[in-house]
Amino acid sequence: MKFVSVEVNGIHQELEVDDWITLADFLRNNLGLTGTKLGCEYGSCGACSVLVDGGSVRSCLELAVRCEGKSITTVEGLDSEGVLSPIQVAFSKNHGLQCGYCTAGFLMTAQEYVQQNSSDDEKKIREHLSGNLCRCTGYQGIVDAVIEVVVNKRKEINNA
Amino acid sequence: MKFSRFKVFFPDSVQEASELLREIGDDAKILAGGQSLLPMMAFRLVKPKALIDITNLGLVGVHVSPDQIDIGGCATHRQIETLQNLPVAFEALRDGMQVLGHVSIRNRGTVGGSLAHSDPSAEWPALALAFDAEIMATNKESSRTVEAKEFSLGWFTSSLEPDEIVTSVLFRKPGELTASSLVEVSRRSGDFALCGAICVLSSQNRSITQTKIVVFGVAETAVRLPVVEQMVIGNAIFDDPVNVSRVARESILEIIGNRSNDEKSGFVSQIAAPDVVNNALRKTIIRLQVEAKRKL
Repeated sequence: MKFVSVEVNGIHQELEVDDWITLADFLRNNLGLTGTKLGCEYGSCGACSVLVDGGSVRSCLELAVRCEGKSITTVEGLDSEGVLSPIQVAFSKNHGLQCGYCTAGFLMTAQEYVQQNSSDDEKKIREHLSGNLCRCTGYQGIVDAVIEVVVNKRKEINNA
Repeated sequence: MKFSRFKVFFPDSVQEASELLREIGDDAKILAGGQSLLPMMAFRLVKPKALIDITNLGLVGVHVSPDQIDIGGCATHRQIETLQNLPVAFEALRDGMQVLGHVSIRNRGTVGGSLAHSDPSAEWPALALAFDAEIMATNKESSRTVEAKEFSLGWFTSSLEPDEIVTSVLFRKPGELTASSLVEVSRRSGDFALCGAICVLSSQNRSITQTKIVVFGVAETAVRLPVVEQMVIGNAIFDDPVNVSRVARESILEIIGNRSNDEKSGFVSQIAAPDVVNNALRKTIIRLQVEAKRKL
């Protein structure tokens, strides 16, 4: 057991956790943040993706005890006081989800893309999202949602 | 499934990490990015009782100069992919990073970890071989330099001693005018390569003076193809590149011998691998031409 102090969705958390607990199980079981889903549990599907210090990480391939001092964002941290973030709005508008199981992971990887890039090149977006699998195969809506966010972001910058 | 139970150690230095390896022995594994080790543990293929975390020991630096890149053992693939000042000579490194796993894997996976893991289908051991990279292996008392060709010995086997840790790897530019590329094929985006090839060419007075052609995913380690290299030496860089597919195929079959224990060896060694070797050569020559014109 080790004490871990982390910031999750802007809130400081200090908990005792077993060494072998993954970040995913820590978020879901210790913090009750069940928005993060586990699919394959060996890093293949991307469903459990969260942001650690701004970069996407498969939370099933990270240990909670290694996250000391880090800042973690999960799907619960995307909105601000109930107002959906641009990527969440775009997913809804473009039908970027069907059964919804992969959605939390896709949102986090998509969020990383829109934070780091301004290109609406579909190939580039698909490359960035390629580590997330959607078994409903609704990829087109997801890609459209990301394109919409980067195009809107560019418009805002141009208008400013 | 969930991991079996283990204890995580956070040493304060590489020396302390090495000492822990000695004390605990075979039950201990070094944990860097964890993007290969943790999946293996999730499958319970390995059940180490102790993991020694080395990601906070200051091994993450990447130092780029026009003639060399010195990469810390715990630098991530993503750090290399997003380098702003990567010299043309080392473009094969970026090619490799763009096809290595996915972004979230590259955010965590490390260069030293990939080398130590020595997966025969992985990019880093092959890149190291293609550039004659020098791998720094450190234990409690000292560090030694291992040449890339002496480093990967076979399937998931490196020449690291049980108490050694990869602390850095140095890539040097082989000639003043150099270009390189990496080409690979995989079943799906982000999968390990079925096979891949790296080509590094240097030229003087518009003719190719030095070449390294490496193929990976076909044998126990990445291998050079000296017969193919000989076909390229001396060629004029602005001529149409010679087609090396047939000779590459013969070389690869010679290396893997008569082993054809799965469907892979037929398709991969006879069709895909010779093709990626030829494609890597063509891609590198185009880059070399651009670089030669730019320097005129």
